[in-house]
Amino acid sequence: MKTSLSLMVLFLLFLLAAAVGCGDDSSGAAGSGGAGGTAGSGGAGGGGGQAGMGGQAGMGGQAGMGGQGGTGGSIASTCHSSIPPLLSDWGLFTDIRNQVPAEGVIPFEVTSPLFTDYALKHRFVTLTKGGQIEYFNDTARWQSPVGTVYSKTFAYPPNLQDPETDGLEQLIETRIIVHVAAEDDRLNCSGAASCWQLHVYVYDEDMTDAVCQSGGVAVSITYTNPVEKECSDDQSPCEVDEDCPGATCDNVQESVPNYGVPSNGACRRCHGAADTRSLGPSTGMLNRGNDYGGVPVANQIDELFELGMLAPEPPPNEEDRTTYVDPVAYTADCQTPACFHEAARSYFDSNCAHCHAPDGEAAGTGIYLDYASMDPTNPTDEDFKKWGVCKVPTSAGGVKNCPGGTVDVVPGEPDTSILLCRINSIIPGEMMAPLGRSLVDEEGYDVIRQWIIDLPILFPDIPTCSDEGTGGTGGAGI
Amino acid sequence: MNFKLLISAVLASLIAVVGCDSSSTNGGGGTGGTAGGGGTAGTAGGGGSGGVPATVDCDALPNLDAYAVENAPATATDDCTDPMFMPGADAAQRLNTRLENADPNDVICMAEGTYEMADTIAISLVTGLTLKGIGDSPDDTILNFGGPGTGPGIFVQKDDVTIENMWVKNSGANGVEQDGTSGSVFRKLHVSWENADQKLNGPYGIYPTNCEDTLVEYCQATDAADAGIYIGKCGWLDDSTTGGIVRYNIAARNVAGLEVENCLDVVAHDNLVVDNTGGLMPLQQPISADRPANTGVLMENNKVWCNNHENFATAGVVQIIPVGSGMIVLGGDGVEIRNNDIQGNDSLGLAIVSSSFTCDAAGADCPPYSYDYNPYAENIYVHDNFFLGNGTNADMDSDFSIIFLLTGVGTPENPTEDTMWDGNIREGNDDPGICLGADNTASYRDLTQNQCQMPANVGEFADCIVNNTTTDTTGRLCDL
Repeated sequence: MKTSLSLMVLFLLFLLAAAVGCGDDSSGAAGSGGAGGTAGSGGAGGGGGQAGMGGQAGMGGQAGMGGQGGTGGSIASTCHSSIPPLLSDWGLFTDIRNQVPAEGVIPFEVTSPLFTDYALKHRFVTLTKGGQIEYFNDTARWQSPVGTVYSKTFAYPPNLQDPETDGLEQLIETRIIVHVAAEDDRLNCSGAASCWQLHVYVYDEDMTDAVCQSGGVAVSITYTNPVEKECSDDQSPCEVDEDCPGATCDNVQESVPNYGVPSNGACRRCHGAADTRSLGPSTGMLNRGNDYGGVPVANQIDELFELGMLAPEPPPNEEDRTTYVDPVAYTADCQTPACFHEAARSYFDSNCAHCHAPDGEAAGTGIYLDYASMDPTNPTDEDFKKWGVCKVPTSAGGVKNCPGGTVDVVPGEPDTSILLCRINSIIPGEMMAPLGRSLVDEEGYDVIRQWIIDLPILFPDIPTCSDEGTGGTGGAGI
Repeated sequence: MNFKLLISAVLASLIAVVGCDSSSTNGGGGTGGTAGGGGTAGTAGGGGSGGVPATVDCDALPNLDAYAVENAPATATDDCTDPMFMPGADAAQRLNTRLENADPNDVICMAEGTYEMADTIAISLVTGLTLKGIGDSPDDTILNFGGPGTGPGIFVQKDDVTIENMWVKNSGANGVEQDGTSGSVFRKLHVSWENADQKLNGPYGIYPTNCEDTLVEYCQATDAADAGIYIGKCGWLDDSTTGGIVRYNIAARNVAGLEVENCLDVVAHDNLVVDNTGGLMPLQQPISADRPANTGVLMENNKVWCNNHENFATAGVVQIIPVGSGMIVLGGDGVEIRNNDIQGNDSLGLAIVSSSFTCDAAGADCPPYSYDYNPYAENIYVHDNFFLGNGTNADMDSDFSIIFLLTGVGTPENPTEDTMWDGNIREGNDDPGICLGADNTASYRDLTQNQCQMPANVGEFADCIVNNTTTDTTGRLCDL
């Protein structure tokens, strides 16, 4: 197993090198396509030596000659010529349409996923030979070596009302974050020894490959939600079921009219620009089982260690490792205030703490929602303030249509808590998280709402914010 | 539309406003719009530099809907990296792609026209980029933001970036934002919002934060729900850097006009700060132990006029700013305020307060601070400023109203003193260093004489102001 894994990794590296080198080679030829340098990169993939894709990319090159990237039904890469133009160039999958990973490309799941307009996500990691991810047993994010490639595919269930559907998931985009050495980065990592590159690949119409896009794209998505849920008037009616609305049903038609495939700049608003980094992989997020494409594993961390991808050795007992919870599933089973705090803690860590942490980009707000900062063990008033309790926002403008309330969290009073209102908003500038979604995470909202309601029960000495009822400025001490 | 003519009309009206006598006769035209009639009155102006500043007529403020900064330098157009960026569909997508794929130090030039921007414009990979419009005025190159997904208009995360000569409109969050970088230049930017409902406006117009050696000049920022121009948490990287310079800008119709917050070594000079709720705001917040207070901050030669705009902030600390505040120095350790022209601010000219005082005034508990935070204003040097017509119609709906009520000031008969200090002193500190220049002729009030540090309740707080307030300058006539 290990031998073949290494071989596979070597093969992957070969593909990578081929793709990159090829981009350089063919850019000259593609350049003849004219000023539309973007079309040129479409041609770059043509030389990639991968049969099926080569043909398609060739079409892109032809379109480029005409200076019309869009003709021919295939979009051209808009990424720099040094970046592989096609997802297939990375060799991460043996079957892209079905997201079947190549050997050595390991799928993983996270316990508390970031909300992205209800998209389904398929996550994978692969390392170069001998590379090992540095494991931390606490809440610290794993440190992944040069050569690490994380990828995450965003998908939706099929649209069953589309007669041309193939019944498979609709693949939207695959995001790749790769740790490269300075010599493999066109900007030499701005002087650092290595750095993380971020790339976004948007699927073509038949979803058998995806094309690199650096500037962001808005996509309109319609899908059939197989999950049983309560019907409401603003949803397409359930098929057949005459009890709707008001009853529960499945196969509701849903839409995401403004799904935003991020620009690379948008990626860096969460992943950082000076210190770009992966965000998901940490012990608390991965300490769980998984289904490796039909092959169940009891624990992902054990599996990664077995594969030689993690060091040092994690504690053998998974109970001895940091473990986050799935906020929605966890509180479906356990509805005590303590459980809602644990759920909120996990929810905030994945949805907010990439910025709202002591070392995050929103540290200046004084709101820290990372897992460690939300330790429920004997919190002080200072700790409560970091969660937003009785705290006036540092700046105006984050509240546009939110009614009432002058502080972020009023224990026991969700409807006057600015934090909850901003989670429930989709107004730019007011909504939190500020990007990466166009819809409200209704299930996540419910968890945070209950957390606020339960705060005075879980922490009887928590401030009540009564003094901030009028002016409210005392909370922040302006 | 001849833009230059429009600008000269606006400038003329500005001058007319300064020229005291003629401005009152031309005033009627001034409020209406571009004040065409102001042209001839221009010669009557000339005040402002040297000597006693002319009297400002707050009823005849210039129309600042168009860019109106004086003497802005021409923007070079001979250094553009090909090709020129043109208006058209998918402008944000195309511009973000261009910026991402650029080479370091490219100069990306935008043709005149209106660009509908459906996404934030990000500079987050390549250093040294310049992004600029090529028109005669920033108003010739309009970036109109809107639609889902638009947070900040332009967001800078790399070093040595220059943004110049364009009009950033209607962003969902801040207009032009920069975080954690050094050497940024923001020049000739017009940032504004057009929402009928002002609470939909973004918080900050121009917002460099955690920055080093930043230059903000010849910009015009209006309508922001927090501050028009902000520089915050800057200058702390190491001894070789400063926070930066903010000069020759106009900030108008914002809640806070120009705000400097928790910065080391920032100079704000020769700015026009007019028609905001509060004008010039050196503020401090308990947000960073490493960037604790305004230190080495100088504010000079600014015009702080008629900051009587309604307070439309829906959240945040700027909600406490009384309508009609010229300058509020909140906290800080080493702030010099000199040679400013502070006129026509209805609530107060200059107030020096501590965080502890503001929470007492709000009737709220002073909070626990998450680190060893010093809430008191210390080493504040105020001298050679010109005060006229301030504090004659104080805002009685603000948290500060308790001051005006208890001291009986804020009316035409008893205007607020030119400089007010809350009198709060850190325990064990013998000399807070609140200094009015020895030759200061401005009026002064110490609200509490250090007798109200931590009152138990609002009544006690009120009592100790009533019993201790004084206009005696003993101990305050010093130099720093």
